[in-house]
Amino acid sequence: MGKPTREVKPIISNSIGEAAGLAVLDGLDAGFDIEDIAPDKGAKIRGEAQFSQEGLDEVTNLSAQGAPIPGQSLVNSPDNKYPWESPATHSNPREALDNIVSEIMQPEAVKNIVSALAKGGAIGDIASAILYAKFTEGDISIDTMMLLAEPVMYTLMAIGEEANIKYNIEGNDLDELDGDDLKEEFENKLNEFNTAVGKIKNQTTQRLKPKIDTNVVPQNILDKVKEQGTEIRSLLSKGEE
Amino acid sequence: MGLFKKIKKAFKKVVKGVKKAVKKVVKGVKKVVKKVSSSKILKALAIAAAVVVTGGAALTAFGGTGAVASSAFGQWMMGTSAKVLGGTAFGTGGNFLAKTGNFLAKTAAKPFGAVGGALGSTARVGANILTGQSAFAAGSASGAPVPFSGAALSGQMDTSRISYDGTNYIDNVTGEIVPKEKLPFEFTQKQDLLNEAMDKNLGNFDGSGYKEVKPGEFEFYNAEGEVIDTLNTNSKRFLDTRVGSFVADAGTRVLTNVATGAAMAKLTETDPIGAVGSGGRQEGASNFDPLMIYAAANNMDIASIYNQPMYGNADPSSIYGSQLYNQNTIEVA
Repeated sequence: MGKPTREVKPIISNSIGEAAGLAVLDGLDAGFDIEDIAPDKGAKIRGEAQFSQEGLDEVTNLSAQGAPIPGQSLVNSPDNKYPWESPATHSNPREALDNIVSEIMQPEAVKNIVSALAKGGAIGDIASAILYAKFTEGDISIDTMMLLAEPVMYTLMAIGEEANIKYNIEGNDLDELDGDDLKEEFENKLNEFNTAVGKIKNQTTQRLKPKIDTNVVPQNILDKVKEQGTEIRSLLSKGEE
Repeated sequence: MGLFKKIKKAFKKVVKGVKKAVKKVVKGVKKVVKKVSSSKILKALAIAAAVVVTGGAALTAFGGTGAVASSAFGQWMMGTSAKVLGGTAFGTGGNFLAKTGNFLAKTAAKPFGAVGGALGSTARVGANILTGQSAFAAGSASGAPVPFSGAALSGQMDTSRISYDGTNYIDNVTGEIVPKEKLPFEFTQKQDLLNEAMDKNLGNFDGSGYKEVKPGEFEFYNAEGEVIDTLNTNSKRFLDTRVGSFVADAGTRVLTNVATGAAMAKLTETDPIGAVGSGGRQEGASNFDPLMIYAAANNMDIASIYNQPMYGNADPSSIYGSQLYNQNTIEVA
């Protein structure tokens, strides 16, 4: 187990992912091992999305209910505003994030999130559902919703990791990162192969290079050949005059 | 296209962007850490991100009952959190930010700090349920509340079991010394103020001549039993806080200087046009805003601090931001 050789460095970024990356790199630089940061907890639960007829029926039923008539909201009474039509409860993104994260971390919510992730729900879908619900309840504005997408996704990812689940980030991309690893590995192997083939080619060319015995051919003729190069003249070409 | 469809489309774009960013960061880290799988790096990233998002509380949260908090990295990261909570991330010099950091970071980060021990078991419980283990297969952490107890659900550390022995804070249940930085600011603040008042009155009494007349209100007596000092640790007025007293001091100095300047300008009045604008005026509240001062000192547009949430252990706006609309205002006497 690594021991830190120094204290943490100040980290600041406008992207949570970048800040996390810097924190990890800082930890590694300070003497930690990747195993200290992300300890192995054994085989992960595979959160593979599976086809569900029940789920499909529900979606079909919902879409069969139809959509609002264009302009329908305009005929609503101004006194009966939708929650999102009034100023949002949390205008400060940081405050909204505190509120959402503390709600996400409630035991019931965590149980549901873990269950959804284990059944193949994607981080992006769960995050959008949470934030969209917060928007429709009038808690946050659309802009705040977009700003909070990344931190909320990372929070959900942390829950998934803590629960030792192999989760989807967007759609059904469970093995995408592993796929990238495999691709990278394949590319590395291909590069190795190409380098090896190149080496063999060079060595063979060196060996096949004609060696002229200077004792048989006079030096002046050899010099002339060297001067003129290996140009082969056509039989029909104009000769030297 | 309707509004909601547009939102959905925009959100999909954002999710795609986040995924791309995740991959980019994973690749970036992978360049430094060779021969480690991407999913391992993703795990490290997710843990670190949760710490950054929650100001350090997530580690206690997840790790309070798990492996991370007891690991060296967990302790190191908690050091980060304690640093932020302690306000030392702003520097220890006598500058304004150091002073504001000490107060603001502690109070603003308090929700995270306090939630720390409590969130603890949540993810663990979820995981335990899924893996068929006992839902509360949890270890103990200093001051960590019982899972799903009132204290846990309200996000508070169970401070009723913490006592002060004159030098250290002790967990009465485990008998361990609890570092002050791990305790909620409001819990230690009372003791700090009391210690401060005792130090101040040390020459006049033996240290035992004080009484808590009302919860949080103390009276100090001399040998004759006369009240020599009082202390109200419940006071929440801005000017009673450390940053408040600093602002008040600085404000008084500024006002005095401005007023002196105005008086001097009046006495040595020669050119009436040149003297215009040099009159003493009261400083507006915005001039005392620590973020305004921070932004000005760093040549930054103040508007972008609010619009663009920043993350990390050295960003005053992220720590300060949670209290943006709840901050104390300067009282007009």
